[in-house]
Amino acid sequence: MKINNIFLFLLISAGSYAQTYTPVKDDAAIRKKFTEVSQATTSIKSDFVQEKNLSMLAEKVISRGVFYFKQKNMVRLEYTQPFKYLLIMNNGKATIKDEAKTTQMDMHRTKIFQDVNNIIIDCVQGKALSNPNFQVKVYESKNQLKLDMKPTAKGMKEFFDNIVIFIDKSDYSVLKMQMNELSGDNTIITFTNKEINGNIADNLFALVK
Amino acid sequence: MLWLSSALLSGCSVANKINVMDAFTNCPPVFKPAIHTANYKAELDFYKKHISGLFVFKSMNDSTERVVFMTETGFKFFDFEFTPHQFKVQYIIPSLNKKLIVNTLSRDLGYLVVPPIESSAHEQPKNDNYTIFKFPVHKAYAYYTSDKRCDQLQKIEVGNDKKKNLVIDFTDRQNINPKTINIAHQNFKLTIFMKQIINE
Repeated sequence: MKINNIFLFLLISAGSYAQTYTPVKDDAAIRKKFTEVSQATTSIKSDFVQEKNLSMLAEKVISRGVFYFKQKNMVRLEYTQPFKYLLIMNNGKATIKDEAKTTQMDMHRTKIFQDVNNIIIDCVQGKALSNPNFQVKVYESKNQLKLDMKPTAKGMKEFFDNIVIFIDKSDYSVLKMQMNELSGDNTIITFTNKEINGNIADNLFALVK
Repeated sequence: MLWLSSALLSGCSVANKINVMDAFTNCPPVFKPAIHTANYKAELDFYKKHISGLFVFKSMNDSTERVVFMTETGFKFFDFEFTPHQFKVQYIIPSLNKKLIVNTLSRDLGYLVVPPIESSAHEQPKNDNYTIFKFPVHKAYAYYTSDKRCDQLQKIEVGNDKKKNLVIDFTDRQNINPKTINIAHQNFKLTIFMKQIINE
């Protein structure tokens, strides 16, 4: 009697969670769909909330901004609250504009910067499954896909435990990215108010002088 | 009463070792950590190099102070732990893990989170506008300047009576923490400017 009650309780609890994920054994169909979507995505504009969890300090740092992507590899990450900070990546070069100064960078010089940049671009373009630097396991729930990406390349492997990406099944867009560090810290970026394939001016990605 | 009589006895131009109780009662902002659990947006300039980032200062339950510096995108540069008598590197990226860098940063940041030892305080002669305390530190002295009423710590300087090597300015204490902090080395080009950010 008691065991049945516990079992029933677990069943009910599981059902009441927003998303329960099961592993996808044959992900060929999903990979195909990702490729189709990524080829059809020319631009993305989205609000984002970034939550950085410093586990040892039990502290969260929350910031907000706007994210832009345009084919092929242009990214604009614009933080608006609680500070102003702008990161533009365009064709292997980057510009950082903080509240005091603007700095130019050649991303090819810094491997890890380039790797992280590639993840962002691959994720938003739906190419995460084909990134050779990761072992990817795919899970699905009723409304979402979950990609559990374990880094295989040196550099990333020494820093990240895994990166988990939550995808909206309805349009294969990225809902959330969670980057779990070996230190126990993590960074969670949530995307909302997405505009796919809207008209985004090239000058938003101009490497500011 | 004790410090007043010893001041009279020893003359105006000589700094006097003062009674510990009097020191704390007379100027609390000097004897408490300058920062208590707060986040700051920072710009570091080292000669021509410029990095911006976020400082997270956390006063932990076990009386240790933690200072984390990371990029705006969440990439952590270092995590330092301070107690009144000890400093520990909890984490630092390899490219910053050099003795000179760690020593400089830990000393600078230590001034913000580890208050001076009351028993070693010498109060300088008062002037009309400020109250200044002088403490011996490693191979130098640290001078803590407060406003005359001892409402706010305004400045920490390190050096000697003639020349200062390090100047830390605080502005606009908002509730517990200063609104801005500027750490400026005088012998070489390193400045760290911080502005408080209020978290959600």
